Amino acid sequence: MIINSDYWRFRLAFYRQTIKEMREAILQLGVAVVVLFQVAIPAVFFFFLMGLGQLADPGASPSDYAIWLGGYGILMYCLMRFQRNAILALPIKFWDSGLPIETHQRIMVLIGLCMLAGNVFLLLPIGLLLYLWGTHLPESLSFVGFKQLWPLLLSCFWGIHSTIIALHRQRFPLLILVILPILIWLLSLNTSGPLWLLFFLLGPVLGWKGSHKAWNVGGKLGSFWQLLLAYQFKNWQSFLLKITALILSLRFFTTMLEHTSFEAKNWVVLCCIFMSATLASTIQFNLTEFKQQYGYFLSSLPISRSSYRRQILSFIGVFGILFLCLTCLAVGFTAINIILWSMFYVVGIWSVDRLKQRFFIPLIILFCLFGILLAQTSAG
Amino acid sequence: MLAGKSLALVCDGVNKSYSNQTVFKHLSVSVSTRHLVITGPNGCGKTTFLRLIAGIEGIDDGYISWQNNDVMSIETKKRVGMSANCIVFPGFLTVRQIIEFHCSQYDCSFPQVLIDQIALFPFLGQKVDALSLGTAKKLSLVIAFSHEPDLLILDEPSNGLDEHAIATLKQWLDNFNGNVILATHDQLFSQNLDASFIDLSAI
Repeated sequence: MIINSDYWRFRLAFYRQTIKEMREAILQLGVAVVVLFQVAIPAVFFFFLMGLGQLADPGASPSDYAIWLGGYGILMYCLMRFQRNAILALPIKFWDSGLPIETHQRIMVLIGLCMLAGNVFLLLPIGLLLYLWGTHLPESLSFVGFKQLWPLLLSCFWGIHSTIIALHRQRFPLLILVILPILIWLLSLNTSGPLWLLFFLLGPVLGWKGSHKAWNVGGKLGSFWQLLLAYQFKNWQSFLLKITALILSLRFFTTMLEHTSFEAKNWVVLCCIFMSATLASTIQFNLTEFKQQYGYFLSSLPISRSSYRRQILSFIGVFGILFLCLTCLAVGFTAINIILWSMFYVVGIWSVDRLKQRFFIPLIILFCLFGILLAQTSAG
Repeated sequence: MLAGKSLALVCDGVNKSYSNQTVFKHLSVSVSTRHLVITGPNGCGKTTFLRLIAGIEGIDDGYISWQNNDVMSIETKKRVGMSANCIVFPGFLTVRQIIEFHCSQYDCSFPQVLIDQIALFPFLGQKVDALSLGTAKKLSLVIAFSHEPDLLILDEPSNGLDEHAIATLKQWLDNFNGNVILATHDQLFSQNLDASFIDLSAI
């Protein structure tokens, strides 16, 4: 079967262009966030390699496999979901569907793009499995060999399955990617043998059962703030990303606080305030986008400007309190810390609104100012 | 159409420009008939003009009033119904949710009669994003009429509508007692109106 090279080049060019635009958008989010992600990406990669090594260990318990597979599924889902528009060419899907390209050509191009997008995270388990099969062909066909390759085979299956649901399902598959692995992990605790891992094969069945249910913001909407909330529900990926980044960074800061001297603790807390408030203030990007997207609709509503502002501010306040509470719970803030956090949050919201992608500049200036103050206090 | 008040639309020295384009410069219009039909070729500013009259977009300079009311005021907005493609409804909500939200904002009852008349009922549970052009237009028209406005602003109201919906819209307009400002290329809607005609390209 020969791939239609023109169509492949076209889809590849579209994929690259979309990814380039997305990368620029992320880079514009600000130095702080980018630094966080740059640190996170190698960490994720090493976690993946270590986990893959663990799979090769016949002594690993099924609960270890279950945890690894659960984490791997979420990782694959996020990676592919992030690139969904680029892989499926969604912005031009109707025009693309009109092109006289054979179905098998489309499928081959899609598989090629998925491999490209999944990169080492998808290629490495598949490559490793093929290599082991190729080099140990007679043994791998025996029951013992199959039993040893089983976790790796399951990894390939789970990675491909997570890729498919990331591309084709509208809402986050909580049941498949979170609840199912946790259940398997709980069931496989203190057991030996990979039997419990067979339950991962339930994933596609559960996915099929739930595939017709689309994300729905139920209920009657009577107020403007409810509309804002519904919009946040619609953009749950963005909210999930913020919360995940917050939890990861809080975990990082709590570990740092445990292992730093008393003098250095204030610096860690200042960094934590900066990180948490900056992350929280990016909610303003969602609100700006909402305003831009439905500007004329919102203007047509008989809502006074003061009422509109009041409701927006209340929404920002509630969102900020959520982030502040999580940060307080993890790090244990004093009253001064809370005031500082609020100050960073307000400046963050203001600068996103006014300076858009350069919003981090005032926040960094504020961070430096408090850093100098802290240094002077420590020296004094 | 039933007899009603004069439109009394006054635009005085209106300037409107976007970053790289001037749409209106010192635009002055005064209309005393009951209705107004805006004509002109594509891109001459018909939709922008409607947005300015509806008060959903601010002007750079000048003044616009309808029956001596500032079009930007909330009280005036409550009396205006607008149907235009430029008003994008939140696509993540269902048709029912959008209409309910609209009714809660305008203090009106759920327009079940209008929905049935224009055959929008089968789509109440559907997401706005998934609507066809014609169904989205029906939703837009139901929303424009639902709070019984005194001024209707319609931008190409027959766009994408089937024959039944066009007949229903004509009937609604015939029974409407307020003022209508219409931008259309479809003479079916404009020919029987007691209206002034403004060709924006000639101003």
